[in-house]
Amino acid sequence: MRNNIFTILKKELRRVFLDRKLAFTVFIMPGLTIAILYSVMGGMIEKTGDDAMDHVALVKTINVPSAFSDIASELYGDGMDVLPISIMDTEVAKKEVEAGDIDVLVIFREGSPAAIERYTNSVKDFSVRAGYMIDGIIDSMRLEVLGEKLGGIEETIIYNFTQIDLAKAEQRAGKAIGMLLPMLLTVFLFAGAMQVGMDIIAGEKERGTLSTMLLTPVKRSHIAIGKMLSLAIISLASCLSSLAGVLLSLPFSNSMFGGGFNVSDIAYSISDFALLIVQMIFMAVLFVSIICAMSALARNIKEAGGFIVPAYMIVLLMSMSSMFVRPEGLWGYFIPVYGNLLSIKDILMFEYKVVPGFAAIFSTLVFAGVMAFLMVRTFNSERIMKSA
Amino acid sequence: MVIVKDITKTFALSKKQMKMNGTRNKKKVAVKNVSFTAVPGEIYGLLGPNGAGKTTTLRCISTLIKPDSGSIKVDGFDTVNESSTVRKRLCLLTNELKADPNFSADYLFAFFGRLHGMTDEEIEKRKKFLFEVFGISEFAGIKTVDMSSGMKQKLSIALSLVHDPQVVIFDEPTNGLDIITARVVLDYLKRLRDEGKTVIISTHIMTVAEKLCDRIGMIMDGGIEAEGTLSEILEMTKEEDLDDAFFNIYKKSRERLDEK
Repeated sequence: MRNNIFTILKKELRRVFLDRKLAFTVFIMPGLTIAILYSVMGGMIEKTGDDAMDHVALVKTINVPSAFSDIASELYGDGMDVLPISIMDTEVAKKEVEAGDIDVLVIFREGSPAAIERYTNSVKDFSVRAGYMIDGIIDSMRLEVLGEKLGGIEETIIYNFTQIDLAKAEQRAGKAIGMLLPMLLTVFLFAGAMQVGMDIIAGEKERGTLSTMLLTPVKRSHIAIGKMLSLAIISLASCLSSLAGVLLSLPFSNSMFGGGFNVSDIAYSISDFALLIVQMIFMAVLFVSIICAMSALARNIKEAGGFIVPAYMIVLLMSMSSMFVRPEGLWGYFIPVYGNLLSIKDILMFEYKVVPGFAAIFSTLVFAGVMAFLMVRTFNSERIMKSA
Repeated sequence: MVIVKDITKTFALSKKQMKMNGTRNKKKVAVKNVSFTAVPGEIYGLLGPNGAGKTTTLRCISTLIKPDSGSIKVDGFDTVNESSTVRKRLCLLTNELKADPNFSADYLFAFFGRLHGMTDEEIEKRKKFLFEVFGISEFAGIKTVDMSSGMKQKLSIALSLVHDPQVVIFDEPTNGLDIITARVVLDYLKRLRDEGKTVIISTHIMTVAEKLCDRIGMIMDGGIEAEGTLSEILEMTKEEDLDDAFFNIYKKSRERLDEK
């Protein structure tokens, strides 16, 4: 029995590993593409931030007190250009804000209390940023006025407020990475298995090569298991390639993961990586069992795609929700895929605990077992396999 | 030896198939109470028009599908309850079965040999023999995807015979083959018969049946209408050649169906 499964497993691995084009597509390209893509995207995000810092905010003002320009100069120096204009030019200035020619228009109107109008354009990044700068100036002006009323600026200080972050640098790095990476790993794992999975089952049916195998004395369940195991290995290898791509791009894509950490702060131990790989193995088994069961049901690759894509969407939805929702207690770990995602997140954030980790593995195995059973049933079904 | 006893096989029809067949019946009887015996050292031919049930019968014998009723024994083993053992003893070749395009003839031969439980030595010996018979050696190292259709057909035949089966089943053995390959195949089938193997073929080509088959079963609308040697069938129908005999039986079969 083992020999037959191993023979089929070897054949399927050979199909991918010895086909240079396919091997490149499945194992090299994901990592390479991700490394390049993330580096470029990270670089672009950083550049956008740098551009914003370099930009001189253009502000037109009407009737503003002299303190406004003094505080602007004190807070932002050359970073802000304040240009007083006449009230007659209000409409022209508004149009300039709309067009992005200037960033903000500020109008002071006399009264008690005085009214301040701030005009920005929320679809222009520079305008939004300049708006926040204006808020800072107005806050400072408010404090000055309050200080004058209370008899000194020091009278406006009610608390000495100090913010201290007790999180270690590696924990901050872990939180940033743990936010996005579980979702990316899920996508890579599923996508890696999907392409090959459809071909080795639905593709073989379509080409008429599966029947040749069904005519050997090997049990159909062994053919199914052999194909499933080979696909799990391929999917995992493809995902590891993608993971390597992410890690390689980290020095340049830090800002994609929310920034706020140095690459040197990433301090995962070998046991963290081992735990991560264990969770990935079980998730690969789960995805492969889904893909194989769907492919076995289909008559051809096109039909298999139609069955698998909705499952992919559900997996995507789960992985995205794991970025924002974290359920209280253990129950979330018992949801297949979602539980794995939570476990991977725990590992990346140095918060892994054995019981939830095992709960995730247990639920994954049960679900994968059900899917594998369905796949074997499908392989044994004359009605479904008659198209093979 | 293959003993087919009273087998019936029905297929469920999809709505599309019901529409295409112009029927409201949700089931189609593909084979109905078919019985025949093929013995070692003979070539048994199932002769019939398209859709008569030839392929369904052969697929039942080769364990790809199970009959709804009746039984099939291959060398004494039941095709339903001892399907693995049966598959060790027979091979089926049809145009629908293809060799995987991603591998070479060499690799596929070894792969199927291993699935049949053969040792590396046995595989090598058998490969040398079959590759020589079908002239595969020259292109044994290239991937199937790069082979011509003739090469692929030869390879498919060699792959199906890898385990030296006692029972050889060919569905339309010369369909799609060029003249030379067809001759090689037919000669090899005769050779298998002479070696004492049981050979069952299906065909709708009268000359193939005349030249090759020791006994013929004429299958029409899912049932065997006549069976015997060529001379027995000619005598039965009072015709001079198999072509006329076939149409004689076909006509009677249609008349009987119309009466129903």
